[in-house]
This record gives sequence, C-alpha cells and structure tokens, in this order.
Amino acid sequence: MNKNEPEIVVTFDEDKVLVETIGFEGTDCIKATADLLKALGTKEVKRTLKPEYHKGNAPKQKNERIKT
Amino acid sequence: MSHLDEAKTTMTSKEGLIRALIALGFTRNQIEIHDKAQDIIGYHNTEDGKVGHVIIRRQHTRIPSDIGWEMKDGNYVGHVDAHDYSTWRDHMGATVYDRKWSVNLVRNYNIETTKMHFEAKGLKARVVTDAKGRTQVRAYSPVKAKQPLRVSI
Repeated sequence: MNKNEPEIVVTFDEDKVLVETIGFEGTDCIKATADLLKALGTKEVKRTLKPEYHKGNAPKQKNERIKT
Repeated sequence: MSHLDEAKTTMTSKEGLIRALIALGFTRNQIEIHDKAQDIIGYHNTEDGKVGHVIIRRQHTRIPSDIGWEMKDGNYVGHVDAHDYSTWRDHMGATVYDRKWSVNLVRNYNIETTKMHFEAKGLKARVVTDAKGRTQVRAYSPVKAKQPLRVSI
C-alpha cells in the first residue's frame, strides 16, 4: 500500500453515502467516482470541490448539486 | 482531498439487495428470486395486491407475513409489514421491520454494492470503522497521482 496513491474513501452514514477522493488532482477525482455513484443509484449529489481540484487543467467550478 | 460527494441512494442491484439481506441475518436459500413478480402474503394469509421480485416468506421473517421488494422503474421498492409484533403472545421477540431496520438495510446495501463495485474494477478495498463508529470502504485508485501527496502531521 503506497501512501502516495490516490484513494477513494466511502463512508456509510445511515442511509447516506459520503464519497471522498484523496490525492487526485484536477478532474481525475470526478472520473474515478462517477461509476461508483451510478452503481449506487444516486439521483442527486451534493458536491464539495477541494483546492486540489483546481490544480492542473480543471475548470473553475463552484460547489454544486449534480443530477446523476 | 480533491472532492467530497454526499448522496442518498436507490436500490437498483439485485445482488446488492441479496447481500444486504444476508448481512442482516438471512441465508441465501431463504431469499426467493423471481423474474416475474410473485404475490406477497400478508397477515391472516391474505394477498393484498403487493408483489415482489425478491421475497422472504413468513416462515423466515419471524413475523406473520412475507416481506418483499418489487422492481419498479429500475428501483427495488420494499413491501415490508412494519407493524411491531414483538410483544404479541404468538410472536414474542419478533423482528420489527421498522424505519430503523429499513435504514440499516439501505446502509448494508450501500456497503455491499460499493464492495462489489471495487471488486469488479479490480481494486483492493478494505473495510474499516472511522472515529465516529461509521463503516468505511477505502480503495486505492489505479489512476496515478501526478505528485506525491503532502502529508501533514
């Protein structure tokens, strides 16, 4: 297990899921979790973007609610 | 951290639902699976029009009715008798299929579906408990980090 590898952490809080990505830059984090959110049958996601998201070429975006 | 998503889920996976029911104490051979929905038998041996594709019959539910889930518009919808029979003379200590039980089913569905997803992607996932006592599934992504992570102590 390499501490430098990007990690996906899914926390189960009653009937909600919290999906965090750690160690990604740019939009890779979104790609890494899109399939999981689909598999979990999520309809709407409350997304909070972290400073690392804006590194690389990711476009500036505000935190948002996303229909999946 | 790059982003945090918070979401509620819907039950769309048959295998995820079966694994969640097993996590709650049922065995795989107590769970009926049907391609065509079948009647769910209620209290007093009545059929009240409810059907299910996934059904547990009352000899296994410890209440006097079946419980089941119907695939409707792509989601499994539960038909579960939430009445508290646990203090009835003939059903002392029966399981109560109330909101708490339903939330626990969804939580286990989410855990099992997440583990299946990571397994299918070939990722190594480990299950841990966080400081607040919540279950976590942690998986390392095949996408390489562009720079080493900064670790603050």
